Amino acid sequence: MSSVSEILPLEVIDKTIGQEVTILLKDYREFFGTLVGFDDYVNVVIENAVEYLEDQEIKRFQGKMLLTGNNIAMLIPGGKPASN
Amino acid sequence: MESKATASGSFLENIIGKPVYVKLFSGILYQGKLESIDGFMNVTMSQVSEHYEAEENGTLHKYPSEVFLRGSQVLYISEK
Repeated sequence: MSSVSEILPLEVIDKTIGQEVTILLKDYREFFGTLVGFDDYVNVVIENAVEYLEDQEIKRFQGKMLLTGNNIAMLIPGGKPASN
Repeated sequence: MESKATASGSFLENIIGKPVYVKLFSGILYQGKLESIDGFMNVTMSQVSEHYEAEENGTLHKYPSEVFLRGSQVLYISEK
């Protein structure tokens, strides 16, 4: 269609591998960690994850975590956005 | 594509037999030894203790036998 080079949505996630990422789920749960990889369902593997529920930190993890793509609503490359 | 395919795949291969956390969508956290897992994220675990959201909230149950968790209910699986 367009002659301009498009960047596919998954390419944005692919570029984030090895960097920190904030993941927002459908509900009020969030995860922050280093992105290790993902698959076509956007199931995600993150490392040294921190889990938040309603902005409260509820758990820290060492090692890797496989997070189901099912409930993922948004991935934000980099840290948590500043809240106003 | 290569790195994507191996990301979840190699993770699953490497955590069998290790102590893990599994959380369900209900918020219930299971801690125990991962006995097996499949592509649906169906999980069997042994030496399981059950908590709400985090271990600090106390133990709800302990299961001496093996436990099966249906993959459709699994939010995450994490190395302990």
